[in-house]
Amino acid sequence: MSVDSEWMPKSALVNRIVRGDKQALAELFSLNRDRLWRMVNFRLDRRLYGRIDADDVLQEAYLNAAQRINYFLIEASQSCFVWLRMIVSQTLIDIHRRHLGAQRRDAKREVSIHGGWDSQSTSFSLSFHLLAHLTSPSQAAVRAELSEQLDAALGIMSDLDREVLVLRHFEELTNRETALVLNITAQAASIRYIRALGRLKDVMAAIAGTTND
Amino acid sequence: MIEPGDELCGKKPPMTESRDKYEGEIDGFPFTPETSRDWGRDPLEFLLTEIAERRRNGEQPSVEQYVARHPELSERIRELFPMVAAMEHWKTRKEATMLKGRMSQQLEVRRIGECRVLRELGRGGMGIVYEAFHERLDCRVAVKLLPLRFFGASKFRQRFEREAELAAKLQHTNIVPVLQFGVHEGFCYYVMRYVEGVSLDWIIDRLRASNGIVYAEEITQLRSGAVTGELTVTTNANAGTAQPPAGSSRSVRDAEKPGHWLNVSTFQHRSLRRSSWRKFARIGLHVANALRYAHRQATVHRDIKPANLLLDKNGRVWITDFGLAEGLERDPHNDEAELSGTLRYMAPEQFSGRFDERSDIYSLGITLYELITLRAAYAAETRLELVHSITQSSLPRPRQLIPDIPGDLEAIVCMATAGDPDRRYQSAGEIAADLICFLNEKPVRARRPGWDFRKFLRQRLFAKRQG
Repeated sequence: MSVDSEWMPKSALVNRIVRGDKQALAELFSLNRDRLWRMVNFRLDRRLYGRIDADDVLQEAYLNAAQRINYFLIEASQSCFVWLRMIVSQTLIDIHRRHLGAQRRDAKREVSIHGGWDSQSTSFSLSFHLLAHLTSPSQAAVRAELSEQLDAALGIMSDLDREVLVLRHFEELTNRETALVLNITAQAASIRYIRALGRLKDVMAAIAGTTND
Repeated sequence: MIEPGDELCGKKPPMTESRDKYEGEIDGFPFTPETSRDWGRDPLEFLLTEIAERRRNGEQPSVEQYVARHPELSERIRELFPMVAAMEHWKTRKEATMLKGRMSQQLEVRRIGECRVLRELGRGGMGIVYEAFHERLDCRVAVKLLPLRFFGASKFRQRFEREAELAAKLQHTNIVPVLQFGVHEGFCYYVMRYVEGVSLDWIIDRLRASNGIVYAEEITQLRSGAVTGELTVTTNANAGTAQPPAGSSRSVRDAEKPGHWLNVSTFQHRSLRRSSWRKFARIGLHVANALRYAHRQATVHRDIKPANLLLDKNGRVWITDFGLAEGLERDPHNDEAELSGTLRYMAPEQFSGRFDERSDIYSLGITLYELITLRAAYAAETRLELVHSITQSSLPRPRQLIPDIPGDLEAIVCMATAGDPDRRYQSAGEIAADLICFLNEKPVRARRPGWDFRKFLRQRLFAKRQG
């Protein structure tokens, strides 16, 4: 294989996982822990704060990943991280259903293991974060707080635009990972990202405009 | 094949999409060349990704650099670059909120490092302060547990350690010494000497109350509030081991060396009154001396305010939290800054990201202003109004509020709180010198604001034109 030495180490890890080495899976998991932890915290329903801890979710997700280790070769061939993230997301959905009841979310919003990602399934608890501190964008604007303006701006953007920005910046996904998560091409992912940034700029400008009035 | 164990090199990938390189390829799988994976990627997206990655690695990439290199994209780079920065800032903020939210819910601590926790003194957005017993040093200490959780060797943790090391090097009679620092279950903490005293904001509140007198004995009783700084004191005044009010304050007087004003206790008469101008000046002098020392060591405080100044029963002032956790706690855009009342003491230039030792002098000035006038320097309904008033430096003169304030003391406070750093005292030594002059009834360098004849004329002229 014509690989440079830089990514050789992880290849070895991956090959151990393919052979069913759970220790290697744990190592891979901890390599990606920072990003996964942030994702869980961000997407955990506010009503579960205090009851559920991100670390508990990740622990449960790891056990789920270990159960699926035989599928690793097929499911993770595109990206190990995206595979882990998908398992964490499914775990999160299970936990939400267990604690908040099934009626809250319909089946359509679930993540299918093979079909990649439905943007709605990743947006479900964003609104709790975005709307927790404010009631309207103009109200936030008055407070002249950049982060709150961003909360407001993201709150009124379309689900897809918001999702792309959250994936790229909050969860620190690469363009390729974003493409896989959204099940689109790398080209489409890059175009959507740029478009979302442009819309963010417009919305922010509009919010700033109301402040200056 | 590389041996297991070599695998977790943990090296952070340097730049653009480099994380992709870390994605393992599986033996026997068709290898997808890097180029075809990225086929058709928007070139602008490529650049913005690089910018975001560089920010995450602690660099400060400049727009101009990218514009110069890619003139064809210059307009769009200028448009979208600030959005990338804003999103990254937003992430940091959210992350900090999550870390903090986590901590307050679950934490119950019995031991921190070598310290046995005796009780919680207070908690707030900035962390939890405990009174503890240090078993190796065999003494009572205060431990501040910061609500920052670090995974591995993150850049925040490195910064915390660097700051704590600097803080531990400061040895001054008016600075609460940092004895130790470390990480407890992922949370950073630092161990400080336990100071039996009360914070100046408590003093200000008490003086503002109807009788307007604080007695030295009260400090002994209230010592629990001492190290909490901006945190809410959760213990009541007579909790636990508080000593009964001393029948006589002999020990207090013994500590004094009469004749030398510097050593004369602030509580010489065992009390502090609204008109204790000289004692207020001495408090200012203690702080100025400590600042002068710290500034010489190239350490700035960044958060001088009444809540960070402790007064012990001997009348000595102690500055807490020197040079610590400045990144997260001292961010002017931080919500916590507003909640803990920090914003009010920030120099106007801090809002545009500039800070030097003169900003500490400004904060000391505002603290003295509040101490002599007993009212908030800036009272505003909203954050925006507050920031606006601070940047406009629209501070009423202390003697307009309380005519009894000595003119020279007012002049010192006004010079320290000048909006333009160039018009302030240029060093802590200068304000210390003026406070010494005031205490010795010699003329001070600071000009009384009313005496600025030219400014007066200018204002008159301006008023006429307006009329």
